[in-house]
Amino acid sequence: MSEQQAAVAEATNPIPTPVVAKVREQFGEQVLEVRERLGETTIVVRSEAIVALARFLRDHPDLAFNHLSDVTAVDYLNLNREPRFDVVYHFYSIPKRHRLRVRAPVPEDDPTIATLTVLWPGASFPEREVYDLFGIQFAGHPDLTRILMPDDWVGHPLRKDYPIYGEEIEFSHNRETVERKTLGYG
Amino acid sequence: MDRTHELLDPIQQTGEERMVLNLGPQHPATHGVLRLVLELEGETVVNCKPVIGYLHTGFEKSFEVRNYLQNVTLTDRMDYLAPLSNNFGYSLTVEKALQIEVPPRAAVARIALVELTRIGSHLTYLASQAMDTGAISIFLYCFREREKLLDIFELCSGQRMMTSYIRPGGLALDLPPGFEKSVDSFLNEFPARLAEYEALLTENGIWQERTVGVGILPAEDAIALGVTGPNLRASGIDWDIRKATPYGGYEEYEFAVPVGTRGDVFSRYQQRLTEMRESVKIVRQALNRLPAGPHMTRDRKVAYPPRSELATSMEALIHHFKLATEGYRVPAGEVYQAIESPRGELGFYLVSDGSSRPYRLRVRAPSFVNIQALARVAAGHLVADLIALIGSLDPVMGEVDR
Amino acid sequence: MGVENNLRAHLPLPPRVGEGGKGVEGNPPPAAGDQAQEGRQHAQGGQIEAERKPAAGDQAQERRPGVGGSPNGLTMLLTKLADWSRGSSLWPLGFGLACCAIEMMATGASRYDLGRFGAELFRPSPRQADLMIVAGRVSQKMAPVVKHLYDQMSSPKWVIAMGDCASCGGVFNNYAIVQGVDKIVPVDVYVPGCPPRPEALLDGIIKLQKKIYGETSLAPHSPAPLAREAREGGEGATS
Repeated sequence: MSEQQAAVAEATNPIPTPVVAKVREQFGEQVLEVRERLGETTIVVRSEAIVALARFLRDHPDLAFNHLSDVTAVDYLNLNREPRFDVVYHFYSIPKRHRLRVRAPVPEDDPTIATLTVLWPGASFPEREVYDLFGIQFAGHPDLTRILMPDDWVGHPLRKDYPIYGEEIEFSHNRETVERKTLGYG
Repeated sequence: MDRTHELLDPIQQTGEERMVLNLGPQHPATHGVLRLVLELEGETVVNCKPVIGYLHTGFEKSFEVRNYLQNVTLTDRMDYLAPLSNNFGYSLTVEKALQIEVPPRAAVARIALVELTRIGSHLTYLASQAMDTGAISIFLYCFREREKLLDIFELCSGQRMMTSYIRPGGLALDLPPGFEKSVDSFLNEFPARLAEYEALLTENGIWQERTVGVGILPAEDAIALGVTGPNLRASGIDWDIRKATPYGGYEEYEFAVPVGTRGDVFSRYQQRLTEMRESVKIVRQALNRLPAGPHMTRDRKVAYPPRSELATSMEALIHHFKLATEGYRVPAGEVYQAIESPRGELGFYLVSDGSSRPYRLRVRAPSFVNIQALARVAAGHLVADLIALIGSLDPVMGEVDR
Repeated sequence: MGVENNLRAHLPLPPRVGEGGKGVEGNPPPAAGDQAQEGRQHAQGGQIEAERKPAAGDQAQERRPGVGGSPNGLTMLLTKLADWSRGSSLWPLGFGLACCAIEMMATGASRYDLGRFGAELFRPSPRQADLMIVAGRVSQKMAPVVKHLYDQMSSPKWVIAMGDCASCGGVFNNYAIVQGVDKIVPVDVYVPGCPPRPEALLDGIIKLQKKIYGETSLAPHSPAPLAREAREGGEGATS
């Protein structure tokens, strides 16, 4: 995202919220884009800045984003976007009652971003889930292992190039050709 | 100050007398398929590591291959103790993305149904919490009450649990004729019943022994671990999304947000009892103001044409066919909508690419995050107390694993 | 019969119709004779599982007094008595997976009272249970556990697949869910519904009891039309 795009984004939102103003003031270059839509604010930052930004959001008395409500990711493979992944954070301030979404783009060849467990231990499970289902590494995470899938699972199911792997449903017309899977345990 | 390890892994040192005990995934007290790897010193839990994923169903992947209307049926099956809350959260998200309004009758009915669901969910909590700690009669009583709620849901939708009744744009069907009467009779008798259960438990010495001072979750730790809902409020944080950022019309209802003080198992129990009472108030208000009118939005982009038009209008027929097969398109962009489900902040994060299927639909499940608190609260307790603790956090594994 | 043979290679399935002479859908209802034989086999160091293998089907049939063997009034009476007591006091494994588990709890609770049918004693340990109600979707991660639990139950044992997910995967046709628990354990009764009403589960349990008593439409002489067609046509519809 170029500065030009950021400028366009700013032009469409002439009155930036105080939160955005403070973040811009502090992080300037690191903020790639700010979007305001349907009453929701999204800040796109460079992935290197995520821990510093999160700490700033949490500790600044006027922002006080003390609740990390969610960590997730989106795979943009089908939309042909570079970089391929966005790690998406939802912050909420319990005292101030405001919400903020932060996105950090992560490239396919090095899908790594710093962990937020140093600030919110509760980020542990959501980050492990993102690692499990998207294959994004969280540097510094104390226990980055698969959480939902079995440990020996191959692949990351929520990536767009991972098929849903359903079984073909058997009807009378395809009874000859349907492939039946079996499982043998024990 | 880095307290990561302290919170996730409370006791670091390893002694020689440790035993590792596996609890679950098949265990009567784990509420489904939760597995806990316990490190014990004698009977005392030194470390407790939740292992989840035994009910991973691939919801978020399945959302991506179904259209927006079909996805309603999947949301039911995540938090299967509060299916209507899930429907509600999902529908609000899609409505926000579509920027449509629901008619007043639907809006009021939704609040009533969701609050009844909250009562039903908390009743199941009470039933299982009491049963885990040995009070089996409470289980039977709570399920008796819950059956009445299920009767109401069945009356509305034809299904006891997986109703899929709340849909983007309104309700699947209009409220049935006997709805108000049956809700009214439930509301009339429920508070007395609740007082009965309280009389059986609250002052009960055994109950207090098992719950008071057990599994204290301090407020700051609860926030650091992302805990939400009754578990957070029982620790003394006044945050209820219904009040803080009202959605779906909650700002028009009068109700209190109870807040606990101690943050122990007993606090969480009292928290849910009080919430049930407040829910009764909300449902009563909703019932009193339930307006007449349509149950589904008139916006033809989302709602099916009325049945009567299908026989006379070709356009309506084509439109119906298109909606049923392809579904409606949602404008590209992203939205996040959180609701206060019986378990906490239930958030739906929708990324749309402008097609009729979600590009990505993420569910921020409260149980999934709340369950991390187990490691924090279990340390130092006896195994028997751990059983009470799991129940008090009220996780639903369908939602944890999705 | 591709899949069936494949399954048979992995799993102890009952004899097929036409092979063992009297195969049934799912498990054969083990009779008292079976039990006695098992005991003997065990004493000789034999495997209980062995007799569930298809090859053992014929022998199993022969061992059953009053059915395949010589008619004997006394043993026949004892067999019936044993079947009756087994069917009337099923001990289900207290084992819930997902949504259906809540309906299973409701079935056991006040309104539906599973105790009326002698099956209310949910056992936490598989060693004490003889009925496994697979209540909910079985994930890929859970499947080995389910199989392990089934193996730990002592014979004779029965399985009810409660709900669409346990029967065939239900609405979750994806990477995470096993498309029917019959891929890992033999199922006696399928209860459809999402989730099935408690009445449906009760019906499933009553059907299972009748099957254990050996007296109903679940008996081998009248399999369901679809299943019969599949078998006669040489198609491997396993369920």
